[in-house]
Amino acid sequence: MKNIKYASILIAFAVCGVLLSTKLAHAYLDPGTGSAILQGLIAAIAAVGIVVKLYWHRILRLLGLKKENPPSINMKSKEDK
Amino acid sequence: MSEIIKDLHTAVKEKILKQPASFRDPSGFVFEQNGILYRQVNQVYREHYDHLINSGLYDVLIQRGLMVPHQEINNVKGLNDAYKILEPSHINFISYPYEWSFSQLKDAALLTLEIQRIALNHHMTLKDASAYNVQFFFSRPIFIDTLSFEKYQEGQPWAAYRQFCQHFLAPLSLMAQKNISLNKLLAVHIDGIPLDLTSSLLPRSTWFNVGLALHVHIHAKTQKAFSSTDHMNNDKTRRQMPVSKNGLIGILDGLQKTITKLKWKTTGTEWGEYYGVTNYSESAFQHKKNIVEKYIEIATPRNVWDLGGNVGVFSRIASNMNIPTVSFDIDPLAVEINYREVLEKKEKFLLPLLLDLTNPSPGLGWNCSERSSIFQRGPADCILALALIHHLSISNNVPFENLSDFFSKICKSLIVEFIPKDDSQIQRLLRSRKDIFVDYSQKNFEAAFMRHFNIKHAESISGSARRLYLMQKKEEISEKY
Repeated sequence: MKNIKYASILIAFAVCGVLLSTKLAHAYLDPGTGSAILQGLIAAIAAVGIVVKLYWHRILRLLGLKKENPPSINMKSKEDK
Repeated sequence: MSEIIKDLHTAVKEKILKQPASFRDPSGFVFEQNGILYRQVNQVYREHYDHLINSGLYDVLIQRGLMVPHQEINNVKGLNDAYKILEPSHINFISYPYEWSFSQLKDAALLTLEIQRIALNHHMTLKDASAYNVQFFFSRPIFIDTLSFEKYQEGQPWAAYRQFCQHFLAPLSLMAQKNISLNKLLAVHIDGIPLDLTSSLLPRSTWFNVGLALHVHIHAKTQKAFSSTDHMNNDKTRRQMPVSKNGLIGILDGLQKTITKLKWKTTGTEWGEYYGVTNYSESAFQHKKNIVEKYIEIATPRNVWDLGGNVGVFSRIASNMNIPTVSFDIDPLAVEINYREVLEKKEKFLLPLLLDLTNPSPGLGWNCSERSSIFQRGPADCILALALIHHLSISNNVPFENLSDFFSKICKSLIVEFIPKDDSQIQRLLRSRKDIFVDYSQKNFEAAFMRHFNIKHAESISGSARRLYLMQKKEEISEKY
């Protein structure tokens, strides 16, 4: 029960923090408050995932789990191929 | 004189007909003048349009065949506030998401995500993600709204995220996980299927699908939580949380994976072995094909609609002659198979679509004119109605006179098959019901159709009692409509 309580407080703080550090959008389409907030939450998690993915080999080397040189990551999008 | 009055004067003087679906976005609008479709770019969109062109985004999208190309036109004025007038390439037939098969909607969804991804690489973003921004151009999905792009500001959420989920993810997940015919909900909900409705209809097991759990179920709950709280409606709380570019790309990746994984699981029927059971021989079938081909050559139509086209066997007679052909069928599986074959064979002139002829697509949306009815998208130069009349006449109790009226509204020439009552296909329809169709005869069929059409050719299919007609609509009737 205590854990759930702490988790709820943490989530509430995260949402409040995010709401206070905001940008105002000027779209002709209403993005919907709930949709925008959900995006922020998913994006925060996804951004961490992408950074981890980009630096995966470096992280492995830092942890001493991989020794050889990492293969070069092709950052170019399909359109440039 | 106010700008609105000035615009009205110019519109009348220059014979500018604004398209009824083109009114929401202040960036511009689509209009017709002297039978040609143009898109006006308003001054307010100037900065974004210039960036679309100068950043190279437009060129990339055109080179990859993802967006409809246009030409900038100088000799057409447009209305007040015009920055540019564009003439986009002509789309042969405008279709709507509630008429698409599962894979057509899925391809349109993946196209939209791909475009958003490329746009981000050019510091632009899609400001809307409506399924109506996609059309089929040479049988492939293509983005048609040139004014959907705006300059991207790092940190901004994707304004079109909710719309994308409602227009694409919701119907696709319902079609894949619940029932294939649920795409029809798109005709009821013009701005996509509401996520709370989708969430309530989807099986509980979809909560274990991370993509559907996040973008449909939790999304629906978040919408509800923030719309029902009064304090969320003030300016401060309407501000949106920052979404980093990497985070946004992550969301696009997630949506793409979720949609790619959605498969339509068919039961019973095998792909590739699907064609309506025929009760006549291979030689009769070939003879029927030959007659249809001959009639199409005589009619020389600019476009063909095949009504009840099944998997498109007869539609392909026309489309293989490079005649833009739409193959309509009520059966989602037949349309799906047809579309897959179009992709596999890289066909360019065939568009398979879903249509229930007993309840055809009506005019929908604002003023009942945002989405055109099937009649408004016609008439077709030529219609194929093969092995169809008995379904409408007997299964749906439509008298021949009503059928004749219907066809006269939607085509100029008609290739129609009449199947006599003693044919085993009709006997099968009558097996479980009383035969109340005393007027169902070849003589009455011809009499009813001759009210609106001249019979140019009539030929029996060898080895069967079936008869094929080539009919031409009478001129005086064409003036009436």
